[in-house]
Amino acid sequence: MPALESLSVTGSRGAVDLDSATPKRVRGRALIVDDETANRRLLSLMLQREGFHSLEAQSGEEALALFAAERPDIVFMDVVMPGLDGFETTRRIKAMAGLDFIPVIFLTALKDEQSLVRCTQSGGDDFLVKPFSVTVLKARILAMERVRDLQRTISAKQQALTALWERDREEHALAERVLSQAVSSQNAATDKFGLVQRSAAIFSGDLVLSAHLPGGGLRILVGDFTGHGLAATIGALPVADVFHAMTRKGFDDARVLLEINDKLYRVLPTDRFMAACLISISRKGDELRWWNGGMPSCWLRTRTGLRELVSHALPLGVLPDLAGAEAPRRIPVSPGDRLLMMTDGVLEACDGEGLMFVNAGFDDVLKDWLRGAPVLPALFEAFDAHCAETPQFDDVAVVEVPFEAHLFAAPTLDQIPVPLSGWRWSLELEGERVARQPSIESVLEPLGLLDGLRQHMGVIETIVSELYSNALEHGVLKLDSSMKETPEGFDAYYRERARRLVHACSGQVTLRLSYRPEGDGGCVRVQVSDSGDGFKPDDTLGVARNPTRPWGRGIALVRDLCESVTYRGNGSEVDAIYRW
Amino acid sequence: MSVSRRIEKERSEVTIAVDGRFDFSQHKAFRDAYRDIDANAMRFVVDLSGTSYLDSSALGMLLLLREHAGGEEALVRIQGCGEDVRRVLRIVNFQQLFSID
Repeated sequence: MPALESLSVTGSRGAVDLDSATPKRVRGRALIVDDETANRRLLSLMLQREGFHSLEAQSGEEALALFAAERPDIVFMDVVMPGLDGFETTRRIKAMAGLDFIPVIFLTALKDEQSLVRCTQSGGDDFLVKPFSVTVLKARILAMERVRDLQRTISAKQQALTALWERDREEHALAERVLSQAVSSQNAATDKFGLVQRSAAIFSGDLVLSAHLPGGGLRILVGDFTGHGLAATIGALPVADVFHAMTRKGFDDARVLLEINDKLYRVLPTDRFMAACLISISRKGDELRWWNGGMPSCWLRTRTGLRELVSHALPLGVLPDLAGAEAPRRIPVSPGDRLLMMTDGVLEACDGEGLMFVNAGFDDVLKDWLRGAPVLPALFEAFDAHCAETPQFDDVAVVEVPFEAHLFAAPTLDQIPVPLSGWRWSLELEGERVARQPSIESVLEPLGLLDGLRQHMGVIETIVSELYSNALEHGVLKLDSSMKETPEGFDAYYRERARRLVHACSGQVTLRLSYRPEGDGGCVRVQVSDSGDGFKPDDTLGVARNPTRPWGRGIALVRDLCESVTYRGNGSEVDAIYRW
Repeated sequence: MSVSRRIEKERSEVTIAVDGRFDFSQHKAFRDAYRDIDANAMRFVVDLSGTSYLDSSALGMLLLLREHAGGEEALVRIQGCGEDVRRVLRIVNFQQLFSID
């Protein structure tokens, strides 16, 4: 940088003086812009004493070149110069500095107010009117440095914050994707009902779930957690799990609600809960069951008019027990009827004047809702017009369900015709494994073998487990039921059972199941055999003679349920037929 | 927007009034209004006559107050509800948990 070196000649001479004055530290580079050499030299000398490394420019143009090359920490600017004047030079320097704060102090002989105002307008940070005292200048420099340091600290923190914020946003977006997939990917029949969901934050506190009922029909839950954002969404996962799992297993509305309530009550803190509306639509589409805990009213448009389904219960997760879930509210519906469900984000959205949608426009949408026609388009046209001026404040979810005969009739399982052929399945357990008899339903379910006999599984499970425990306890473990005659004996029996399972278990139990469909019904055959010496199964008939006898009920029960129960091989083989 | 409280010793009653929007921004102020008060010695009244709007986090705060006041045994009274506020409380069926005037 030859230009700089030639300019700094006096600077280096000044530095000698500085040495003698023992400067404390290097305070940075100061750029002095003045067309008069004497002024520059004087100021340069002073600044060097103050610990600056000084740079000198005798014109605006030179100042810009030097600024670009050296990036000084502070600039002293004359106003009146040939070529670019001080105002324009300052303007350009400030543009070059960008977000970096580099103070520019005007040193001017102009005294009129207008000129001083222009100093500030062009981007100058301070000004001193010549002649000025060195003490005042020093004080001004110190003040500027303070501002600059503050600016730098803020700017560094700002950068760190921006980076953090961006990372946070990315992570939120990722988590949101995973969560919403987990929550909504299991939803059923989503193409058959209308749904609009909009979130105020990345995570939505609103939740919409749908699942087919095992016997046909559809269940929908619209929920709204307290607050929004991550904290509101986190509860959606257990709710979705309970909803889908219990619906699949055929539990009724009340049981599903009780379970969700229980889970949320245990998981969420006191001030968090979920308002929810749960509906079930019958297979034929002719009946609606509903439950509303803390959600805005649902609206049912029928042939005879509008029907309001008002919230009648507390939200879920508020109290440990859920009152009023047991008696389902039922409404007959006809093809062409429609149901509208929504979260409060819709009704409470405000316009520019703070007026809520529920008090401005919502009623008209309901009034103009014609039977058989979808209401969502009109609703959102009015809604968007209402809050065109205002940012979205709360999450919004709206569901519209049309009722048509058999629209939601068929879960996939029932759509596939029940296979006309049967199956045979068997399992042999040995050694200590005999202790644990598997649940037949959980074994057959993943094999897809429950088609056609799902509603008989309870009975079949009972038959299998009674026959199995007989084979295990009397066959393999050689325990005598009559031990159970007295309360002490009852206890001793089970202690002995546990002891023998650990120490003396070398036997084997074989379980065979077969199924054959028969017209509208079917037949399941259960065969259990064990490696024991057999026992006297007829003993079990004793219950009939003595109904208060505390043991031997199992086989009697099986005989009641089955068409026939036959023992062979001295009781070590049993063959039961269950037909419906 | 403010939360204020009035203690009436002779009636053993604390009245907490919320003016303006009752939402999450009032969380600290609302909690501070009751946390130092012995729930065995005082009854709580929440005065919402100056409340223009109530969101779900405010409902949560009311539940926290109810818990502080003794949960199932507590009788927290809510008074002075305007129409919008009353609608929100009715939708969530808080009349089952609070005595609402």
